[in-house]
Amino acid sequence: MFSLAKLREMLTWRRGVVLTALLAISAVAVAASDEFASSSSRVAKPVYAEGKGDKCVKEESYMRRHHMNELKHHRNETMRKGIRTSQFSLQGCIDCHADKKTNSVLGKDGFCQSCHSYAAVKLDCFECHASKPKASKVIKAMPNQSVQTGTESGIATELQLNTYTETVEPNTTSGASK
Amino acid sequence: MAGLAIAPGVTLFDLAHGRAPEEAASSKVRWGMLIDSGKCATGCDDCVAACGKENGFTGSRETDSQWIRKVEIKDLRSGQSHSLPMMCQHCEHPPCVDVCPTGASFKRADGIVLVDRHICIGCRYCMMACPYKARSFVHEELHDQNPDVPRGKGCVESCTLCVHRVDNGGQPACADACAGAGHNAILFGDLNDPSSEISKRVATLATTQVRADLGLNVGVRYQGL
Amino acid sequence: MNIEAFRKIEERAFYALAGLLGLVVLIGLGAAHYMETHGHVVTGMNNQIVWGLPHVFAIFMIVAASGVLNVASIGSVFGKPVYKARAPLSGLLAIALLVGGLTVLMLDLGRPDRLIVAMTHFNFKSIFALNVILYTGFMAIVAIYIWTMMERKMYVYSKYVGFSAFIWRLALTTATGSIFGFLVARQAYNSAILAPMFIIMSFAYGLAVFILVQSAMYAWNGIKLDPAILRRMKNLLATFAGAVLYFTIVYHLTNLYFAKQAAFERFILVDGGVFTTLFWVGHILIGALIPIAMLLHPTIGNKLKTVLLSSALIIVGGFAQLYVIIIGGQAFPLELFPGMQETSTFFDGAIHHYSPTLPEFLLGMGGLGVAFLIATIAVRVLNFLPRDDSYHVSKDSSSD
Repeated sequence: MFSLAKLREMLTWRRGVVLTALLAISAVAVAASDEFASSSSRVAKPVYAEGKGDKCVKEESYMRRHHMNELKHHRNETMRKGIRTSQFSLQGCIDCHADKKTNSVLGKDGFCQSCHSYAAVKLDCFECHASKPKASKVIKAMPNQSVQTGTESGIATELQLNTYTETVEPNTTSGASK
Repeated sequence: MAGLAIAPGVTLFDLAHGRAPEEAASSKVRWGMLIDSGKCATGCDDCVAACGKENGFTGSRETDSQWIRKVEIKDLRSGQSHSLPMMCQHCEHPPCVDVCPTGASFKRADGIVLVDRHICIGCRYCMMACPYKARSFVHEELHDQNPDVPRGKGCVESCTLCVHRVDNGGQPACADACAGAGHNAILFGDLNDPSSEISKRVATLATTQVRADLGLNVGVRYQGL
Repeated sequence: MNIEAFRKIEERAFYALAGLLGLVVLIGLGAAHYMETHGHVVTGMNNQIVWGLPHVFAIFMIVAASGVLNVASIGSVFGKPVYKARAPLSGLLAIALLVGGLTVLMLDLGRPDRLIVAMTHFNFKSIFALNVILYTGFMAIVAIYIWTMMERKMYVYSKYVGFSAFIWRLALTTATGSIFGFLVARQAYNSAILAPMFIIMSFAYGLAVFILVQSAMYAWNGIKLDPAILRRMKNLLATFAGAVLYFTIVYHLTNLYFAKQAAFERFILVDGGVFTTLFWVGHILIGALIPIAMLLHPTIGNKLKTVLLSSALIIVGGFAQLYVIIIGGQAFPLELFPGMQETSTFFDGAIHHYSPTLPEFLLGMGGLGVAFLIATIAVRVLNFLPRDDSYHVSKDSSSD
């Protein structure tokens, strides 16, 4: 199958030199990058801005390690089953951790981005998800208590006791799909 | 299911509508809409505007998303014409779900057909398969999305029946807008609940499923066609 | 050029060719990157025409990939020695074309970065998901097939592996045709005939590609193809091209018989503009009638140049045919309300427009580049050159 003779023929001394040079360069590059990592000035330390609430939904050490798993689990529950609990909701994270100046978790000092940049982990959430809290604060309502009036209009108009969040419209239209 | 009467004409409402946050959507419910084309005016696009505002899309270029659109139809022989909104019909047997290679297109227990953008690879096969041209592909980067309606480049999307509102006990933005303008052409409700307004109307009136020949048992019905 | 003179620059010629193909691949990758960063808004594709030029290229390569393996199947499964000598090259081209086609298909995705999702989440009701398995399986089986043919110790198994590869490729092309055949909603598709039609298309495209590549390799090595073998292959090619024509006629006749399909058929056959032209001139004339006439001509039909030109025309016709099937099929509007005239802001009831852009074309060419780069390198490193045992040829050609 593989003709060894032919392979040996292909590996002339000139190509051997080129290969060796390439290997040497990459070795140097790896060594150099190690050095950069150890000198802390090269990469900005992440910003641990205080959240707006008293404490996080779980201990910080746990969240640092496991937030991605919790978020992923929560996203599947919400997406697939319509379960909208608040503990590991991404919106909840953003509401609490949005930067006080930029009102966003992105940006150089943004809660999510600064740490993800530091750790060099791609942050994929915010291509689709808003990085800012909803324009008005959502008042969390007690479920199961809406009242329906049997109107004759044919449209079931709901007067809900649970202050369904009729809020100021967030800036949804600007820029979206232009 | 019917709810407890607390006053004449007012019932305490304990449907899965406005269910507890930790409670999953149930197959006991099937969300649907009944659209009365007799009440739907030519030229009115309140539902389309409301949907765009709620879900964050504008524009009508060939590459722009349109979750809902007004279709004008005219019978060339009789000259009779109708106006109606067309959107995802939330089929019981959705072709988009059948063809989706990754399972990103799926139907929730309560009949709402959705795209899970986390696993949508943007192959657009569902757009080829949908008989209603209900799906759009996001052709460019988006910004300032509604926090309740994540959308982004490279994935396919379509009417979610405003699932974020429905899960909180509300109804779709289009139905709200239509009622708000006094047209009342869009009725939203639970097709599985015999006491719901929509079920009563579907049971008594002549309603139409678009492309009924395909046997998809759609969740969006039309009357007056 | 004198073959002796060429021998001297052969090595440089190889690197030049490989470099050129590599450049085509790089440009294709660049185009894909451009499409991914800017979004599909930079392509001609839109929410009406959702599959465009990249899909024409990709499906051509995938279909041709399964078809090119036919040369091997005729050898191993049907025991023709002339084709047996060509089996390793046929297997190599099958893998190369499939990789090229899949590269294009993958890079055209809205989220090509989620390839891993496509490999880990399967909806088995989807013919697409099934294809992911069929395509990877095809590559594995054909690779084993090549191994059994090239490794003396494994040769005894080559017949069985070859047979499995043959069955697998039939399944693969059936599934490729079914991508369209299972689309119940669209007038152009929704037909079981598309599956066998794609198989017969694969025979024609695959053989045409094989003949061109084989001739290029023979010219490179200064070998002349036995006229008996050439005659046999060109007759086969004419038969396949004729069969494609037959299936096309049956497909359109069936549609013409159904009143509900009349408007769609009118669009493709009479007043569809570019699609009508591509159908009659591209597919029927250039892709079928001219090459068939040339190949079957008693004198010029036996000339190598005629066969090569016919092969090229069949490939061009194949692209035209797929363009009409894929894009023409989407250009015709979905009929939501039969018998009614429809208008909307979302282009209901209107013929949809598509004008391909450069990045799409470059991506497609990049896929071809990937296929031929793989083939070029493999052919140089390993022994894929079909060598005819003169004994077999003369014995066989009498029973042609």
